[in-house]
Amino acid sequence: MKKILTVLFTCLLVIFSASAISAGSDHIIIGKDGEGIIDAYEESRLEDDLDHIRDDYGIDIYFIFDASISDVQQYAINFIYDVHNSENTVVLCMNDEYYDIEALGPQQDLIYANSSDLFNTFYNAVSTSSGIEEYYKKVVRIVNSEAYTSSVDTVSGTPAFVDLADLLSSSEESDITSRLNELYNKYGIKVVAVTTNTLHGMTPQDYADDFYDYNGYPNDGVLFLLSMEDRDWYVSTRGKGARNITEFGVDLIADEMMSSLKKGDYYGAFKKYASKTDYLLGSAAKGKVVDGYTEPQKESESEFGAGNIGIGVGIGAIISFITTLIFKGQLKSVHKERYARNYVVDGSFYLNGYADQFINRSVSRSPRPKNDDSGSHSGGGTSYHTSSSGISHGGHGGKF
Amino acid sequence: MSDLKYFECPNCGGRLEFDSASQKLKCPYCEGTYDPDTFGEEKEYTIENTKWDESDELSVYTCKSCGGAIITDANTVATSCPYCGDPVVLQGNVRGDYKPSRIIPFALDKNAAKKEYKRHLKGKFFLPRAFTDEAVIDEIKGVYVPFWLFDGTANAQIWYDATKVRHWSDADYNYTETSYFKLFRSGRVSYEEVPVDASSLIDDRMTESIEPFDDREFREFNANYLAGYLADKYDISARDCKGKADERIINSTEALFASTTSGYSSVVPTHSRIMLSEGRQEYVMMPMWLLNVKYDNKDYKFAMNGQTGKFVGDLPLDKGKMWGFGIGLFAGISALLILLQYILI
Repeated sequence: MKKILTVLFTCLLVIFSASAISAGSDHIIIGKDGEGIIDAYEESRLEDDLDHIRDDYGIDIYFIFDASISDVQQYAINFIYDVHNSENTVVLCMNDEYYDIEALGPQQDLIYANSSDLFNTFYNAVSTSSGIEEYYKKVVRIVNSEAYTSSVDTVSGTPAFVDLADLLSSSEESDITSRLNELYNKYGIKVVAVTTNTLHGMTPQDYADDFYDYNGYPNDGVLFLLSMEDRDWYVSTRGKGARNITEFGVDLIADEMMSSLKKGDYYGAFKKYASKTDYLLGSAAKGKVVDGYTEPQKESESEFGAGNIGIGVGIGAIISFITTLIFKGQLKSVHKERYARNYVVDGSFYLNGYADQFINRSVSRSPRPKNDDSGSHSGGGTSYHTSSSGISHGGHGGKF
Repeated sequence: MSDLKYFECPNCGGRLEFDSASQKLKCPYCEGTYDPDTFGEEKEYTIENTKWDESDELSVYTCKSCGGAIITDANTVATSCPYCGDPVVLQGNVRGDYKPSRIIPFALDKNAAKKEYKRHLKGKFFLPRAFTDEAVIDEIKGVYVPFWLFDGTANAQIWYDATKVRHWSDADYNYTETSYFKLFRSGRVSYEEVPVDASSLIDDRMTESIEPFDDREFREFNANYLAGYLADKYDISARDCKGKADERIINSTEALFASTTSGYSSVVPTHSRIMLSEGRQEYVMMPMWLLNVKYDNKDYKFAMNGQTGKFVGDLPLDKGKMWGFGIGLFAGISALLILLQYILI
């Protein structure tokens, strides 16, 4: 009797724990080399969360880490077609070198547009579990962006020139559009201009940032907003656009366009926008981000200067110092003996406890200095703020 | 009541000395040699008066062969009569607790010590030339140093914080990834014959610097080996010496365990628990040559391991030579590098 009860009890226990484990079908899949990157308690909490998200929002979000995957993109594509059955499916798949994000569903374009942001959100987090959590929360935010309280105007496709205030004639419009598209082809950075009669109660910064983010424009870009409501102009930059066009660069654009804007010559103003942006992006592409007035510099790369003397003196000092120390050390041979290495009994060293435990991981990054041999530097780089979509933008605005 | 022992050459009656080269008792007068382990002939002095001066801890013995008064302290075991030079062994001081269980006899003689001293001076660039030319060996003594040897086993549990750092870059950023770990090691390691200088008269740093001795050369203690050399019995108890041995054992244990944590960018011990078990302790004597050199009104001390020949001793620094060389090399290399860059650029 006792035996039967024990067996029964064990079976119940196994079924119970098995169901607890499979209550959530795995959204988080950890494979080779991933042992210990997330502890079991955290993993089950996140799985629960992801189940709720699937049920409440209809978004099925996956995270895969496996060092044995050779082609992450192929794996992710196969995987997503396998599992896709609800409205939206998102997969972040990585091995120890590469990552790939795949999305299927009505919002897939929006997710693809934000894929490197999504990855950075995961990667820059303090721990693996918080990284996964922020990644899926951001997916939810992006997918639900219509439900999100942004009242910005939306457009279809990603046009370079959006004339909501109808300031230009249609031929002028197409001319500006083609100039701006040419910049995109040249530099890979999307250059956009938008005119509007109303900001729908938003600030110029929010309107410009949100217009760019919520209309699916690519990661790297710059947008010029002209609002006739209160005569505001605003330049919003993102990604490489923000890095290559600093606040100083924004001022150059505005200064260039200002007289035309004040006169009401909007076509002329946007032509200048195109050409000034061309200049700024072109300079950055050559390695010189425009960030202040620079003294005209002689080509100094191949000249002998103070730096070379410094190197000679520095190395000479180091070699001389080290050699002198070595010879001085020759004179000393009497010392206190701290160790008993000679007296260890051969074969007596025996380890019975050995544990290496992973705690957490953090990643920090610093921007690489661009080749910039400018003299007096009156710029301050780009100042970043985070928009409602959680993405960093640079830029600023003013009145005209 | 103490007795003085001397060994008489059966051939000519001269006083025998222990010769390190042959490892036998040797007569300096007729060159006869005898095996110390089997040599039996001994004559004993009877001491006429022993004046024991308690307050200074000195004893006075009368040398029977020349009548001179030999003053030694209570620790001296073997010495030579300052008048007639004959070696004497103070048997009284090597009785009972003060008798070592084993001894490593001298393998190198006085001439070897002098030769090693000369070699020690060679190749030392910042040694004043005057030292090599003018310094005089004031005194060379062959001394048996008393040691306590300790055995012990260390049981250790040590915890560490460790990091692995990875760097990489793409076109726009330099990335640094730091992974944090906690490590744990536990185990044991045994030590034997860790030596501690048991004489307060002899500088520990000297005896530690000439380590190690080859323990295969240990012999059962026999007073015969002391003949011709100076010896002191111990005046620091085993208990007082043990602390030093324990310290060395703990340091080595920590180093040994730390060596098992590899593959990390940084490893820092945060907590360690090391327990030492009591082991055997033994009183022995080991041979050392001590040299005293006078130069420029200062004394310089040197020591040589009387068995292995390892020679140590700090030498004076010729500051002029050092600065001259340092500045000269600096100027030379700097000038050369600057010139090279000028030509190439």
